[in-house]
Amino acid sequence: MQAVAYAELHTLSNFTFLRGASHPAELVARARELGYRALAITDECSLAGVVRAHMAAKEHGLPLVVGAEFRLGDGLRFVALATDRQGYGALSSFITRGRRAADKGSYLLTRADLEDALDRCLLLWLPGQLPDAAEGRWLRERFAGRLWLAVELLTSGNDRRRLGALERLGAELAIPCVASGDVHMHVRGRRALQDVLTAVRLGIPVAAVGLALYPNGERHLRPLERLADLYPRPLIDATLEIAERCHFSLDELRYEYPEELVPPGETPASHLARLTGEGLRRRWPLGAPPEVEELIAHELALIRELGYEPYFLTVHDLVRFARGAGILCQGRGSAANSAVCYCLGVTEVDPARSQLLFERFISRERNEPPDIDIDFEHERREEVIQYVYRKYGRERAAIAATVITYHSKSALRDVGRALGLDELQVDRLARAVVWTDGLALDERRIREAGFDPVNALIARLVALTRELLGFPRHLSQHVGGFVIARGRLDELVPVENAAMPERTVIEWDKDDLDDLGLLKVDLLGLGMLSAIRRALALIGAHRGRTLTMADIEPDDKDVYDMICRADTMGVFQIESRAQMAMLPRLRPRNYYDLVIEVAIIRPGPIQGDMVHPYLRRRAGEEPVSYPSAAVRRVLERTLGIPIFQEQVMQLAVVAAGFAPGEADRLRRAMAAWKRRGGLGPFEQRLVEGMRQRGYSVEFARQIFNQILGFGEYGFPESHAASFALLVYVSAWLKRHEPAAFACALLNSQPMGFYAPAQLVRDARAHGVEVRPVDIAASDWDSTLERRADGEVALRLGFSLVKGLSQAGALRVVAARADAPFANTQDLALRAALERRDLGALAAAGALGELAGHRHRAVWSVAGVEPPLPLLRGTEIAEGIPLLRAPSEAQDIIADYRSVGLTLGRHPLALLRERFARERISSAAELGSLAGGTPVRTAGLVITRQRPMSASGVTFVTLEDETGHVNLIVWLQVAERQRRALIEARLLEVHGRLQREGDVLHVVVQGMRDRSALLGALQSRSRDFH
Amino acid sequence: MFACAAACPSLTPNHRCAFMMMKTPAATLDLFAPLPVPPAPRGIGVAPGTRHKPTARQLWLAVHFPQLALEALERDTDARQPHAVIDGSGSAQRVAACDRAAARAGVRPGMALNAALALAPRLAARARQMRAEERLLERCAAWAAQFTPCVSLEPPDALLLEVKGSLGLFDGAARLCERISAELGHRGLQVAVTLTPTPRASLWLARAGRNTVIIEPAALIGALATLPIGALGWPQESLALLTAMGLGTVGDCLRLPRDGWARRFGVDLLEELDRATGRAPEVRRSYRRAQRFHARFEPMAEISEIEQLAAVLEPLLAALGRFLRSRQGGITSLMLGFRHRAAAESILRVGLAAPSADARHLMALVRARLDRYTLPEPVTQIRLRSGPVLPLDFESGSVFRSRRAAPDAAGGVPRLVERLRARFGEDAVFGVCLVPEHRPEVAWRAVPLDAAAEGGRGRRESAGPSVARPLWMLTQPAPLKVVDGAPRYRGPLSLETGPERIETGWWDGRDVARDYYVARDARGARLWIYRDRRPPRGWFWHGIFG
Repeated sequence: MQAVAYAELHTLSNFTFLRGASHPAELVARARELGYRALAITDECSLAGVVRAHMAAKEHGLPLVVGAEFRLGDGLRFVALATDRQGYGALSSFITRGRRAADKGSYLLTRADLEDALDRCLLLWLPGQLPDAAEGRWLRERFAGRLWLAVELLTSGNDRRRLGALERLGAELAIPCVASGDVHMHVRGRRALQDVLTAVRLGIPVAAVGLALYPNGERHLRPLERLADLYPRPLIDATLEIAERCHFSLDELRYEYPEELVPPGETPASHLARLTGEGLRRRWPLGAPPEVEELIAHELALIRELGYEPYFLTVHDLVRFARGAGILCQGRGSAANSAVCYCLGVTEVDPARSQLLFERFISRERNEPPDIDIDFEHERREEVIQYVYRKYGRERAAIAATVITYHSKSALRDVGRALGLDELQVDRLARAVVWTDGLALDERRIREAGFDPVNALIARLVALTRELLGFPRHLSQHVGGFVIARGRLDELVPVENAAMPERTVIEWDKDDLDDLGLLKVDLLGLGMLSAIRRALALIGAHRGRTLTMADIEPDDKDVYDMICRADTMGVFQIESRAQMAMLPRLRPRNYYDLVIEVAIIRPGPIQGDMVHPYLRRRAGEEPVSYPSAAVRRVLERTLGIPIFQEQVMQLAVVAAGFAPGEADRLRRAMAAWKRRGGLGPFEQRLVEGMRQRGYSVEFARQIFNQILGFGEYGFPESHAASFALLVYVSAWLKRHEPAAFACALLNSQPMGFYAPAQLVRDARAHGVEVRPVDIAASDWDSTLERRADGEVALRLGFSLVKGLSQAGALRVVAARADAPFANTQDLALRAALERRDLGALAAAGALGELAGHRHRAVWSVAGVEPPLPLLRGTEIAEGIPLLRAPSEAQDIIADYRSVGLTLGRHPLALLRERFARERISSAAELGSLAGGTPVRTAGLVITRQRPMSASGVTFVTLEDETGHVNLIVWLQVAERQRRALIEARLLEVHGRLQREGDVLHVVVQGMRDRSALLGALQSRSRDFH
Repeated sequence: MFACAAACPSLTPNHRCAFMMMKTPAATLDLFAPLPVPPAPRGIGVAPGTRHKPTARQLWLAVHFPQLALEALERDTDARQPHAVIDGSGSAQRVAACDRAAARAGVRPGMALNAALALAPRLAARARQMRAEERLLERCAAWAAQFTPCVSLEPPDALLLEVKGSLGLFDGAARLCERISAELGHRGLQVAVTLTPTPRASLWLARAGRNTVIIEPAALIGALATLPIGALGWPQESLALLTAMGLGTVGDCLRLPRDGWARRFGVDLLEELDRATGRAPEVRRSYRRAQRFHARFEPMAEISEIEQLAAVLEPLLAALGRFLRSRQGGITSLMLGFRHRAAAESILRVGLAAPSADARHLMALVRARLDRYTLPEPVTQIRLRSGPVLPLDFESGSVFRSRRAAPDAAGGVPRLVERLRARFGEDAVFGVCLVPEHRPEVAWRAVPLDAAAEGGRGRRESAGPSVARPLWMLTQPAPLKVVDGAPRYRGPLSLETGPERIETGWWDGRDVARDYYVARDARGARLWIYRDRRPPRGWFWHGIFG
């Protein structure tokens, strides 16, 4: 039989969530393989999958038609296909209209919406089981000449009858018929998964879905011969006629930048040059060094050549707004560390001080858009977002989507439920499964969870879960990626409602935007910026000098000394356990060392085994050598060891012969391989390419392993450079203004690794006087108070008191300004406090003089009655019962419970005598012991971490009254004493002391939960919890 | 499950037919004479104005079942595997109870499920069954009725027995407590048993795990004083407040001023304290179990004829009818047991489609069953046991009509079904229900008649297959002969419509992939046949159109 030519015009991808059962790329590849002339992706009221389809179609050379399927409120169904850019815009805004009219994840459209919509689109009417001629007539009146009747024959037993009936109907209404397939999957084999998706959508097990399942697997891309058997020739030919009329390609979309940023009479280029020049004079009032001038001329030329001026102007505008509003911000990313950005005030990374080259980050060949992320104070990012909406309007600005995909647990959970397992079983199974690149089941653990690994159900479960993995599940909003257009955004990409009220997101994610070369700006929130701004303001107020980040003295020796001692609690980025362990070994002495420090303690370098070689070379224990001159150029600044993401990319180019574009795809694949897999082909290419160019297979393997690590958390030099600045600034504040720094950190919680208890303890260890929360002195935030000697003390704020409302606390502060409080009744009355707020203050021990000891305070405030209008000022006379005063231990525990910290003795101090008898050493005592000594110690557990990169090791930090002890618990010990490890609040361990330079660890051999001692401290009777 | 002979009234000897009913006390509320609440100028627990009587007016025995949630579930045999019962759903799943093996691993009630699983990976975690717990508690209450007529439920996990009057029968308080504890222990239930003059105090002490016996009211406060407040089942916020005041025991609370207490903790908790100390009365609702009718009859001579048997049964059923009418209830099941000299007891069960109290209708059903029944041996004793008494369906009008209308005329379909069942056996009559399924062999199933009526109504709205289905289906598809690739049945077949492709059912391991056709055979019969899409791609006959 002669093969026919066919184009499929009705295809759902898995971006029609919980209906389509194949990825867009799978559909495209299969359509190409079957010899289809074209393929339309027509997800239900969505264009979320078209960019992926478009990229795949380009790769496979298959014409792609962009369209969407709709069901109107009254049940009318049709497919709309875009013929050209204008039609695409109409389709996109029609989808936007439907999506904006409904809650997130759904849409609502009526015939009225269709009256003036879908210009320059072709329509396929999808008649129901019993075709309603009135529907056809209504559509024909509006879409004559671009309307077809879709005949979808799916082997349901009455195909011949239906074909006849639809052909007659088409003739009667004068609507031509066309063949289409209602495709839901690329191959028949996805039938089971499609059933599972249906079950998940309906929220019931597959076995109970019944007739809502499709009776067969015909909704796949069928071979041409089979289609030729099913459909009369004219219906098949019509598919080509339609496909040819749809000549729109996503490549036609061009991003058009906002125009309003350029004043009249200027071009974007002249405006950018002028702003840069002004910045240059501000940065170097006495004249910039010639290298900088040269660099700026070079960068501006490159920007002009690539047409990126409006992008830089947009970023500049946002930063200018933030500055004006007093919001601290800093740019980072490939283009951010340019001299131009330094002059524009986007970053503080001084090009004269750094060895960073703009061209390393932005290049002609790669033809990728510049990337600038801007970090703002985390509590004030919203102001910037509102500015964007105000300035450009909701029609022109929206947040990029994040496609939430099925990961191992959610996939297993949904498939498990669909197969009828109950919640408990699914939970347990999810725990028993070990997730690696694919999906491996550890038989022993499955058995442990009470399942039989060879059971058919389990086999089905695993197979389906594996298929579902990586499927898009829903769209969410990106953390801060904004798209801003010159014209209406909804004609570029559909805009829908986000889960947050008053937020809108576009249907494409970051990768989609990258693929189409559309620019976006990332507006992110960073807690440390809030803390730094607060610290600078506090210092300004108390020292009478205003400080900005730029005023902070660079290269301060004392600051680096402190960093080398790993005395870095609270300092940005380098306060984690792993970072603190590295500091005394890497011994950073300058800014670039900090850049490396920030980037090196990441899964990439750790998994690639780059850390130790770097340290050895830095210490001069190993010669610095390069396999070739090309590699030397890439790796020289990191002593021959690849540490940054950019270096790995460059190595792929210079050592493995990747084209720059290919290296970029590798970067993209790196970020996604955990979710989607698919690094296999790159591995082959990379290792083979390097081997051919004379590099050792070992070196190539190392590079590849590092790529795998970057997948977890890729860290580029361009970001590390900006972060390193904040590392230095925060370290400077900690070293020179510890009270202000601690105060700012407390007021910016939650952020960082440590709780207020540790931050306060650390501040006191650095000589800061800390004063308790007090009804007579505290504000909502923690504050600085001037001491008699002119120094400052830190006063804890009401914000630390658990259960106290901010409004109540503010009323306290306001009422106190009139007159001090006489007693609790007076406090309750004048500050209009509810019993709950009063109770919180009493429990915190903040009532001080007003009510006596804590037990009496609680009794006293619990009896405060809401004042009656006639009895204002009268007090209820009642006797105060005899309540025992709290013991020291009770006070300490109440402090922890209410404020999260105590200014009294550490709880361990109360137990020290007992521990001394038991030969348990304190943290301070361990410091004086030699490495290898067997030791026994105990403390409060303040952190428990099991990093992915550390092969089963658990890091635990204990705290006692003398300091911290860092524990290393190997997997075997952890498994054996799981209970103590997980449960203990007070943990006793014995093990061997390990000493590496100044760094101490205890490698744990045994553990014992001593939490009962804390309970015994608390009360004479029983701990009722 | 528990015998009740001891508590039942004796037989009436002058009647030829003796009835034994499960008796429960007539009163549902036991109101005890309230004590006057004295004004308390000082501490809650100190009442100088009144003097306690030297002996308690009541004695309350509390039985607390700390592991009831676990014990209410059927258990696996593997004792080494730790077990836990889980309450709540999603991230709020918490351990409600756990066995000793789980406790050894560190699992404790109140712990989040994830934490429990982290401690005991082999933990058999099962969802809590509140209904089963209620039933078990009720069974225990029924059992406890042997000790006193006054048994009160304290859900979810305790019973209260007023035993003052019974102590003499059971050798005193300590013996009684021991006996209850031991007998429940034999039944695999973990208990704490406490006896004090007030129900509240007994309950608190039992919940705290104290197996105490206090007879003297004067000793009560001393025993309560050391009780930690955490054992009282009070709201969390009250406990937190008390702890924040440094108060940890009931004794601490009793020392506080009454007015100050009421202002801070409300009158409810004050009242609880008063009830515990016996200062305020506690009204307890007695447990009353679902009623059944029991009767036993010993004929003067052995009965070997069915007719004779029927004559003897008639007054039994009439008594049942009176019993039911007096309770305005009906039954849906009935059991008759015939004892013989040697053979095992013959059991006859009768089921009804709707609750009935009509003795004649019941007799008719029993007759119908007896007609087909062969006695293995003459009957020496007859017992009759009804199912639980259910409220009558008033809308059916049966209560008002039953006297006028003959059962046959009023019956309609349910009566027809009952009689068919009585004649052919319980399993012979069933309904058919369409199952929404694409696989023809799974698309229907047998169901109880009432369900079929409902199911039939519900399904009609959902979209069935759009193409014809034959009325008669083969239980097993029959292979067809194939000649030259074409199927044959009594000669060549001509395919009329099709194919209808059905590929589905992978989830239960019975995946099918078939192309169905309507075919006409040489004699003009229309058959429903299919071709298997899997090798060897055979043809099958699956049904015939009527």
